[in-house]
Amino acid sequence: MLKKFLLFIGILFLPVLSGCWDLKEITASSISTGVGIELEDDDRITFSAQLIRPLPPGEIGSSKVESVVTSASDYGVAIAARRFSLSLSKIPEWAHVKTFILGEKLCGKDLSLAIDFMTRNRNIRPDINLMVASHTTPEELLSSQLSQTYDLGSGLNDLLTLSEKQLGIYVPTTMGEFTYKLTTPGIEPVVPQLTLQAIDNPSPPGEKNGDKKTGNTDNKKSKIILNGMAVFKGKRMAGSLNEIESRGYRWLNSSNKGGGLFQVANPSNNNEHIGLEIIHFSSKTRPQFDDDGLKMIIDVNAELGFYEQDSSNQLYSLEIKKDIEKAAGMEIKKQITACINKSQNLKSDILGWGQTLQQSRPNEWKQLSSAWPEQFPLVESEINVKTNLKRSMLIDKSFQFK
Amino acid sequence: MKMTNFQLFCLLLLLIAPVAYLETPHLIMHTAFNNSWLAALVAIIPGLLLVYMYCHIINKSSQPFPLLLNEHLGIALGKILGVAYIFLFILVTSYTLRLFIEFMKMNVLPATPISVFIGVLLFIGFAAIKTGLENIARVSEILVLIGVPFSYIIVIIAIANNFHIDRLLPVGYINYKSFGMGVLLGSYVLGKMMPVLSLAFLLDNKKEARNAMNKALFVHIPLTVITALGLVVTLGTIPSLSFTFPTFNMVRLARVGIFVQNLDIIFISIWIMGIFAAVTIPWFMACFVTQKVFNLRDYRFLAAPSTLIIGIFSITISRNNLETLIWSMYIIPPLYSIFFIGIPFIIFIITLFKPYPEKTVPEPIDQS
Repeated sequence: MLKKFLLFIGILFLPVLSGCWDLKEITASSISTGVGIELEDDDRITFSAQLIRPLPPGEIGSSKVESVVTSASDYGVAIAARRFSLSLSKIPEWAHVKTFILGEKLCGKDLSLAIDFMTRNRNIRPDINLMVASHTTPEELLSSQLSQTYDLGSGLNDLLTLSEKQLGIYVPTTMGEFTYKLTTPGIEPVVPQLTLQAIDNPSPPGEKNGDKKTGNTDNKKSKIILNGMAVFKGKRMAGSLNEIESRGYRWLNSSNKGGGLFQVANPSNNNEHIGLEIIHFSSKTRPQFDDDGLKMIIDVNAELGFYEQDSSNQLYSLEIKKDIEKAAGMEIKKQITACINKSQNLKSDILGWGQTLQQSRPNEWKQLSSAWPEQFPLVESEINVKTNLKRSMLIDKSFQFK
Repeated sequence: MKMTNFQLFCLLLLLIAPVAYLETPHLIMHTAFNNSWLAALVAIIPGLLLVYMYCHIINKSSQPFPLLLNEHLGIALGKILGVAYIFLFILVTSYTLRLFIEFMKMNVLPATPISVFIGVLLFIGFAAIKTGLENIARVSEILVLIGVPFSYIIVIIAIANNFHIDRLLPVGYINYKSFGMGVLLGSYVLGKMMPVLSLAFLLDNKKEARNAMNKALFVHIPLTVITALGLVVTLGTIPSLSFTFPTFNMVRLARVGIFVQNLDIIFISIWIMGIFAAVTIPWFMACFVTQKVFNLRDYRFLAAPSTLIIGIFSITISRNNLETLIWSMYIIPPLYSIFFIGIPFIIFIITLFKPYPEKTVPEPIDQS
């Protein structure tokens, strides 16, 4: 009887033993979905976070969230973050962080100031998106709003995914990918950049474009915009890719093999444009050794859709189709060449040619690896693009006016 | 007591898999790098040889381990080795417990005192041993049925979301020494099946132990292969080397679309169940070997005093996680190799020159 009683007591207490010491009540927590770090002039690191407080429906009529941006500085990321406890009554919950913004100054000086925190901290998940604040600070970015959401961290995450699918320029980079490329020889990381863009004419007359009560409006002085990709070399940021170079990078490095839109000039009239949607693409880079040394052969296959034209000439026809495909191929080649030139100018192997060499020609890589940073800018490339115009959406003839 | 073949399979699998799932791919990666999955796959060959060796010893012995030590090595040496095995099984239990504590403290519940982890796990293990091996075997069936499919599923989900197949290249580009070392690191853990030398005698037909061992091997090896492969294609080889528990880092990547995320907490729950078995079975072996070596009436009353030894040993075994890592990489592999593979190999050689024993009824283990 005593044994059974003891066993019953034991079992009764077991479920409550495991989590008492690490208990975090949701009502005592403040959830963060976006954080950022920047280096100050006095070498201290500022840690900024957008904290979200869920408001129950009873208080304001319907369920909403409030957000506040808070920052603290110290000589280290973790201690700066812990300094929040000097001014916050709720415990910040970092496990829901979706976006991590690196400051431009910090990236330009030394990533080792922050990389340990980014990899060691158990609350920073490897699948969160990484971005770089360009010509602004993470704090300023986090204090801004996206027009459709209070939750900036999740919003930026969605923004990146959506923009890649819709426009096909910038490739998202996760924390895991970033650390992989920083530690693995023969490849360097690139990270999408965010900037604040001034809005001159925020809202056309007569158009209601926002909610005055909450301040969630487009009528702000600046808006967040994706603008270029930061190129890293070793533990520093070496430069940036512009829009065309970023498109070139995407053709060779995106894990998302579809989506996006780009324009080419009408083959018979340079003043007219054709919008082509990227249905699917694939690319393969392989090293080739010949008398001139190492050459990278890049093959790109792209299936495109005829999406838009800004004239009423009949362009989507079997006769002109080949010319459009050729023009599209030239455009893709131009974008890729721009990306290669920039990466070689910056001496940063963002295309992972060194890794490709190591994977397909390990013996040659053994000889080249030690001198790869000097060799990479001299490597020649050959780009072969095949394009196939496959669809024309709802109409197969251009619009004809009567 | 008697045990079914499936129960033996479950016990053997739980002896090796829970710890190996977290530890082995990481260990192999330190020598075989991006080819660690190949080394883990080839470990099936030494695994099959081990199964053959254990089966041969079982068939050539009339009594279970540790009594078979007396039978083949003589009473004096048999008794000395028997005592050594008591300490070894206590060490295995304490080390497994410590590994569990390190994992929980660093990744899950950092503020919870280690005395709570040790206390809870030892309490459950103590209760399990007190109730007898029969109950441990029954619980093992449930743990395997839940744990194995889930372990496979979560690794596959993590891989599917972060699949970089090119990271496996160059396949097979590794020197023989590193590859051999990787195979050894992948196979030494299979020696933890050694308690089969005792447990096989609980089957109706001890020859069926081969079946259970093969099944355990063919479930464990693919799990190790897919985990090692997953580490390479998801995290990458070099980042994985610096993580303390890269398997857990990989599991953190598992998600289904945008609606099922943060699956790691489910992994932790399932893994804790596995650790319960991985702690309790060698603990049972420590008690059982003590009973046989000192000719005691029962093993179950040894659970209480050994609780204290295991609890204190698991705390004093290392002062920090770096020392636990040293245990994991440099002390445990040779120790397991000597006691779970080396000594049985000597017995195997001896039994090669011995005739098969006449049919005897083995002494029952559970005397209740």
